[in-house]
Amino acid sequence: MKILALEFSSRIRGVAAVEIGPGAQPAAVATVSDVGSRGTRAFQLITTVLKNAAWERENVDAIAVGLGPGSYHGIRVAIAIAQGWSMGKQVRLIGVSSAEALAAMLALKGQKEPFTVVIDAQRGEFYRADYTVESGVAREVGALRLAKAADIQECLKSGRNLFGPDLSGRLPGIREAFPAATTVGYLAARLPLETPGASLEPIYLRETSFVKAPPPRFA
Amino acid sequence: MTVLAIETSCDETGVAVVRNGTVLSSLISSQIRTHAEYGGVVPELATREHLRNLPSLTRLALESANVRPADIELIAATRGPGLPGALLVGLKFAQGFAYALGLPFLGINHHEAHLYSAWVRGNPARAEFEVFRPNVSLIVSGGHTLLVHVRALLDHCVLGETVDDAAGECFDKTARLIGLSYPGGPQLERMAKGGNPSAYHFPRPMLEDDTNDFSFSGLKTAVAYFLRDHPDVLDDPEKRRDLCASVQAAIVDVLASKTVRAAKRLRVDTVTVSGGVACNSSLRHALTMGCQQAGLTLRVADSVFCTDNAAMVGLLAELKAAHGTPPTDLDAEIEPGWSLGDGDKVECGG
Repeated sequence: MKILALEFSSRIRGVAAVEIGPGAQPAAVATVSDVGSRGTRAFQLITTVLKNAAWERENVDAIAVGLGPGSYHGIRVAIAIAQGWSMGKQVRLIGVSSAEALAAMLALKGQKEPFTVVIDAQRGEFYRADYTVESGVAREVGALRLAKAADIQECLKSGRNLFGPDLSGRLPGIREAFPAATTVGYLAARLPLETPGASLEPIYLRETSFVKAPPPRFA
Repeated sequence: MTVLAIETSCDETGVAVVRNGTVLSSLISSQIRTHAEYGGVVPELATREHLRNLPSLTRLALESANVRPADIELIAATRGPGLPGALLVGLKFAQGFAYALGLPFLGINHHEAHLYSAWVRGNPARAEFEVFRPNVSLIVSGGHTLLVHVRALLDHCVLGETVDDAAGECFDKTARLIGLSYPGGPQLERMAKGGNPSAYHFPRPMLEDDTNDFSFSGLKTAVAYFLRDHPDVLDDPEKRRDLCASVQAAIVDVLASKTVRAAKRLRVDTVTVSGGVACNSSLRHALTMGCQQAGLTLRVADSVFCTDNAAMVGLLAELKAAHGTPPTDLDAEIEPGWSLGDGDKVECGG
C-alpha cells in the first residue's frame, strides 16, 4: 500500500511517501519538508515527494493526515487537500495524532527514557501527552490533555524529558522536536480503519466559548 | 465544459456542477441554526462546518448532476473576499480535487461571480450571457455593498462601495437593537410588512453625496438614539411595525436611488442586483419602480442565486476559461480582502 502522509501541524510542514508490503514494515520512500507560516506550498511538496518516490499520483492508495494538535491553519490545509483528493480519486483517508507521531519519531530516534510531548495551545496553555518507551516503541501513559504553564514548569523542574515544537525559546529545557510526516505515515499504516472524510478534523481539546447573544425580544 | 465549483466564503457551504452554461446541480448547506444563538456568524464555527460539509455535499452535487469525478474538466473555488478560515478549507478542498485528477483550477472572486448571477435564469437554470447588456450592478449583502459598472463580459470597474457597514449589516444590527432574532434582515423585513415607512424619519446617508459610495453606520446609530429616546415604541406592535418599515425605507431608498442615478449617469440601459439583501421585497419594488421611471431594464438574481452559491462561481469560471483565462496556481492562497477593483474607481469615473 502506498501512503502519502501530510504533516502540517507545526512550522515544519512535511510530506512523505510511505510504502508497506504484505508482512513488511512500512518504509519511507521519499520525504520533503518546508518551513511554513500562513502559506504552505503543499502541492509543490507533494509533487516533489511523488517525483522522488517515482510514484504517479494515481498510485496513491491512502492519504494520512496529522491532525495536530497544533496550527489549525496548517492542519486544515492538509485535511481539506486530503478530502478533495479522496473525492476526486477513491483513496483511503487516515487521521493520525501529531503528538503520537512526534512520540513515535522520538522513539525511532533512540529516546529510551519516559518523556512528555508538549505543544503550544495558545492562551497560556499547552497540550501534553506522556509516554514510555517499550522495545523501541512509544507507549502513551498520559493521554493528550490541556495543561497550564505552571504544570509544564513543574514537569521541567522534576527532570522529566520534554519535547515539542517551537517552545525551547519560551520554556528553556524543552527540547526542540517537530512531528514528521514519515511517522504520520508509519502510524497510519498500522491503523486498520480509514477515517471518513467528514470526520477528519483537527484534534479539538478546548471547549468552544463564544459569547452568546441575548434571546430575541420578539419572535 | 463540465465544472465543479465550491463556495465557502462565509457561512453557506455551496457546491455546484455546471456544464456549458447550465446549472446541473447547486446545493447549499446553510449554517444559520449554528450561528443563531450567537447572533451572528462565528468564523471558527463556520470553518468547522465547511470542513464537515464539503465531502458529503460534493458527493451529493455530483450524484444529482449525474456526473462522475472523471467527467469534471475544470475545478473552481471562491478565493476571496471572505472569512479566512472558511475560504481556506473550500479552496484547498478544490485544489486537492484538481490535483488528484490533474485538472485545471480557477480561483474566483466572490464579488465578480455575483456580477453575473442576475443573468442566470430558467429551469434548468442557465447563464443567459448571449443577451448580456452593459450594466450597473448592485451587490448588496451582509458583508458587502458595491456598485459596479460592468462594461462587457469580464470587464468591470467599481463605481462605489460602503465606507463602513454593509447594507445587510445595517439590517442585521438594527434588527438586533429592535430585539429581533437572527438573521435580523429577513426578520426586520417580515415585521415591516403593513408598517408605515414614513412614520419615523431616519437619515439617508450619502444620498445627496456626489460619489457612488455608501455609508450605513450612522443610520444604525440613529436607530440606537431613537430607541433610547422612544423606548415605548417597542412595546406597541403597530409602532414596532412602523419602526421596522421606516428603517427599511431608509436603507432601500439610498440603495435604489444611488443605483438608478449611477445607471443614468453612465447611460447604460440595464441594472442588475444580487447578494442576500437583493431578496428583500421592498428593495426589489423600489428598484423596479426606479428603473421603470428611468427607462432601465432591471435584472434581479433569482432568490436561489441572490445569496452565496457555488453555481455563480462555476458559471464565471467556465466563462473565464472560455475567454482564455489561465488556470490559477494550485498553491495559490486565499485572498480574504480581495477587492473587485483595486484602484479602478478613478478610471471608472461614474
